[in-house]
Parts: sequence; structure tokens; C-alpha cells
Amino acid sequence: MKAVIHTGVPAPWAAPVNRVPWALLPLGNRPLLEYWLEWCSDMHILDIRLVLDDGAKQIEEYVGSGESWGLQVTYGFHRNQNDPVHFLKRFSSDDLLQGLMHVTGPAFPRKTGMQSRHPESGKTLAYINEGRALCVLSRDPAFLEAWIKGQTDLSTHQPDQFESLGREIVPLESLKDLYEINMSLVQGEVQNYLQPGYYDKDNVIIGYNVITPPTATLSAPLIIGNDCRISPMTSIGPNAVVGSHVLIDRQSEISDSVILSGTFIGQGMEIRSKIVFGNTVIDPYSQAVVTIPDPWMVSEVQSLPAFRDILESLFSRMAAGVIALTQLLPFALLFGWKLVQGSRFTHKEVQGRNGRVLKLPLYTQAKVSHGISDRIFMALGLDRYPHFLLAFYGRLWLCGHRPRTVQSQAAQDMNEPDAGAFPAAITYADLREQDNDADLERVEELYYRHHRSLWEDMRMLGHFIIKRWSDFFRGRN
Amino acid sequence: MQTSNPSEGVVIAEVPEGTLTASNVDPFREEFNRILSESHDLKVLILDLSGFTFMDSAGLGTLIALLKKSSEQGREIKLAGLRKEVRVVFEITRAYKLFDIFDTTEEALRVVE
Repeated sequence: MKAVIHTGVPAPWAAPVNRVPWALLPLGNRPLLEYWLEWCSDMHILDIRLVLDDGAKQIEEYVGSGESWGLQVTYGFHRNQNDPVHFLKRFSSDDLLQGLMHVTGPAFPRKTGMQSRHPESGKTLAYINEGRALCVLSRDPAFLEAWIKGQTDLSTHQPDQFESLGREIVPLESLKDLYEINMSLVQGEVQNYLQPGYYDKDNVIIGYNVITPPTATLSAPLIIGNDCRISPMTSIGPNAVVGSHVLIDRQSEISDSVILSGTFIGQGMEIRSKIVFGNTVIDPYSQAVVTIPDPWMVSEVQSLPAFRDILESLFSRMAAGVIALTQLLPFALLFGWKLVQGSRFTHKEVQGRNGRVLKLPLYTQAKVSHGISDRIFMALGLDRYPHFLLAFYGRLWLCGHRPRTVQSQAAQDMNEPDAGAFPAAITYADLREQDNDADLERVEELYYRHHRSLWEDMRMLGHFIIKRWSDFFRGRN
Repeated sequence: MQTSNPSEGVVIAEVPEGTLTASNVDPFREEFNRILSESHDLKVLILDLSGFTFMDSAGLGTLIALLKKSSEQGREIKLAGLRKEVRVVFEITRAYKLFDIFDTTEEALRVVE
């Protein structure tokens, strides 16, 4: 049998916690996807295809090859996430002969207490939610063939048929659903999912490397993840689900709440009936989402800048400084000449380092000319001279991606401050033919984020110099 | 690039073993353009990228430019057989939102047909 799980189907309700893809949102401190993988493993469905979209890298890093669950997990992409059934057309009828499990959105496969069973041959089970098949489990090849071709209407099926297999499909349609499932798990349901050998009689589950001083009060029921630091005089529980890498400062009180991984709770905070994720506090019942900008209250756990980051920042500024210094005289002479001819620097508002708005000078030539002075001006990269100065002052990076204009969609999408953005003086766009393709620029930006290194910067700088001089010898500006 | 013509209007092009980086995007682009110009009835081009062990930003940029060019001509490009190293590049750059990507050429053919 094969299982196809669409992890990229949009879930707008999860937007406030969108730094984690919905498939990895925690339920009782375990990602939602893990419950599905475990169920597949229980039913001996070993061939799993995860269909990825946003958060693809995080999901792939978490699941890997599926070895942890005894599964063989492969990955795929599907452009039209709103029509997940279309994805199945890529399988041959032989692939689906043994049966198929198809999951098309966020849902929790809750154990009902009945024994988990293998689906019977020739049967089809479906959970339909608002006319959409959220989960289909079929061992009926004829049905599957007709369904994939759009010749069968699933809306006639009654929900809750999965109970015969010892499961109930619970759709997640709001943060309230996420909160309530977490509360249900912490209040005892979690024992249904524990592996043999784990002790849960006191309704307290605490992970590895959790430091709890004697003056901290922990009240059951309670779930705490790994690598947490709990300060003196704090009170945690009852009904608290605390993720991994959570720091809780002195005299804080947390109850009836879900604290997602990587959150810092400041001194004297009182968190009741809330979901907290970094600096975002959510009231699951009113759906109110509040972002608190004060890092002393709640925030993401910050890590110290790595040595590599310091080195790269230093390289960026020093190299920009050296370039600006060596080009000072040629710039003064040649730009003076260009100025007389009518060339100018115009300004455009862009996002600089740390999301700050910056007026970026853009060189505008008075007239297109292939004269020697123009060619030298361009070959020396003097049109970028102000950009090198900005890189030296730390307003731009030396190498990176093209700065986003303030009005651009990508800039609007950007979370403030976006630590992963590297607006720069020298960009990938300078190393290719310019075409102002927004998609390509976005792709290059993401590429740089993940391949950023001193070597990559030096490579870009080298390519920039070579390209400018090769254009000079070819007689192009 | 080896090409085959499994059905009318569909061409499968198999890239040779190697990488697609700034140093070799030009021959790749030329080869691609040759296929487009030689196959007049081409509607769907399935690029079997299983030969590529790595792709950098220049390679990815070239693929996007070629996709754009093909779309303007009313032709579709589908990618198949991405190795993990190449798939990760598509993942982190979210370029998968631009392309139709299949595990194998057979899967792509099934959808096309």
C-alpha cells in the first residue's frame, strides 16, 4: 500500500504560527505529521510520498528517509495544491493496486481506544469535510481508478468510518482546534500514543536536559520538551504543554497553555489559556493574535551570533572599504566628467540590512555611449561606488541579493526584521543578463540565504570583476 | 542531451551526467534552444535531470529563463528525476512553485498523456 500526504495544502488559520509548517505543528509536543507516519507504520503502509510546499526543507529535515518509523519516505512537489487528487494521476494503476491512503490537509488521526486494524481489501473509507475528502483510505483499485479520473463522488460517504480501524479523523481548522487537542493530550490522552516502557502515571512528561530548580513548582498534568531552562520561583501547570528549547524566567506562571518550541518567557509573566510562539501570543478562543515587540516579555530564543557571521560581516565591510578607497580617485575624476555630461545618481527606496529603509543611489547615464571613459567607468564598477560606501557603513552587504524595493510584494511578505535577507552591492543579478524577473530575483535571494559563505562572496566578487572587464573588452556598457 | 519522442508533441530530453553551474550554462542553453527550434510540433518538453548532481544559482536562473521562454511560445516544460542535491536547491529557493516536478519521466508522461 502507498500513502500520499499533502503537507503543502494551504492552512490560512495557521498563519500566526507560520514559521512552522502546519505538518510540524506540535500536538502534545510531537509534530502532527508524526501521528500520521505512526499510523501508517501501524497499518504496514510503508511506502509514503510526502508532497511538499512551504516549509519543505523543515519537513524533509525532520522526516528524512522515514527510517525512524520503519518507513520509506519519498518527496514530491505539486504546483496546484488546491487540487490534490490531480497529483495521483502520476501513479500507474499497478502502483495503486494494493491500496492508497490519501491525506489532503491538516487533521489529527485520533486513537479511539479500539484496536488499530489493517484496512480490509475492497473497502474504501473516507472523511469528507465541507465537501472535500480530507482523508481517503481505499483498498479498492476499481474505486481508486474511477476516483482519480473524477468519475466517483465521495461526498455520499458518511464520516467517522475510520472508527472501525481504531481512529477518528479530527480536522484542524483553527488555532482553537490546535489548542484543544493539545489540552486533551496533556490531560491524559497522550498515554494512547506512548511507546511501551514510558511511565506516565503521574501525568507529567518531561524531556531530556530540562533544568528545574527546587523552588520551581510543576503541577500535573504537564508536558515539557527537551533542552528547557526553568528559573526559580516559576509555576508551570496544570495543563501546560511546553515545547523544546524554551526558557522560562523567574516568577512566571504558565497554566492551560501551549508554549511552542524556541520561546522565551520573561520574568513575572502570567500565561493562562494561551498559545505562545516566539513573541506572538494567541488567545485560541477569541482568535486574537498579539505580537509583543518587547523581548523582555516574550520572544524567540535568541542565539549568539556565530563566529562565521561575525567573520562574514567583517569581510563585507573591510572588502567594501578597500574597494571604496582604491576607487576614490577614479570615481572623483570620471564621475566629475560624467556629471558634466549630465549623468546622475537617482534615489530609490529599498530595504537595506536589518529591514531598514534605505535610499539607494542608482546610476543614470545621460546618454548611451560606448566611449572609452564610459567603458572604464563601468569596468571599474564606479556606477556602484555609493553601494560600496553603503556596504562599508554597514547599510548593505557587499555580496548578496538585489535589495527589495519597499513596495515590492516580496518586501511585504518579509517578516520584520528579516535576519535571512542580505541586500547587497554585488548581486547575482549583476552576474547575468539583466531582465528584472521578480521570480528569478526571489529565487536568487533564497539561494544566497542557503549558500552564504565567504567562499560564495569571493566567488561573486571575482565573477563581478571578470564580467565587468569582459564587457569592457567586448565594447559593451 | 539525448532526446526521445514517446508521443506526438512530447519530447523527453535527458541531460548528461554532471553539474549545471555558471561554467556550463551556455552550452546547456544552446542545446535547449536547439531542441525547441528543431521540434516544431513540440508542446511538452520533459527534462530528465537525473544526470545533474548539483545546480547553482546560475543553473537555476537559466532553467527559469528557459521556462519563461517556452511559456511565451505556448510550450510546457516538466522536470523529472531530480536527485536529492538538486531537489534541495528547488526546495530552498521555492523554485518548485514555478515548475511541474515529477519523480520520474514515466510519471510526467502519465500526467501529460
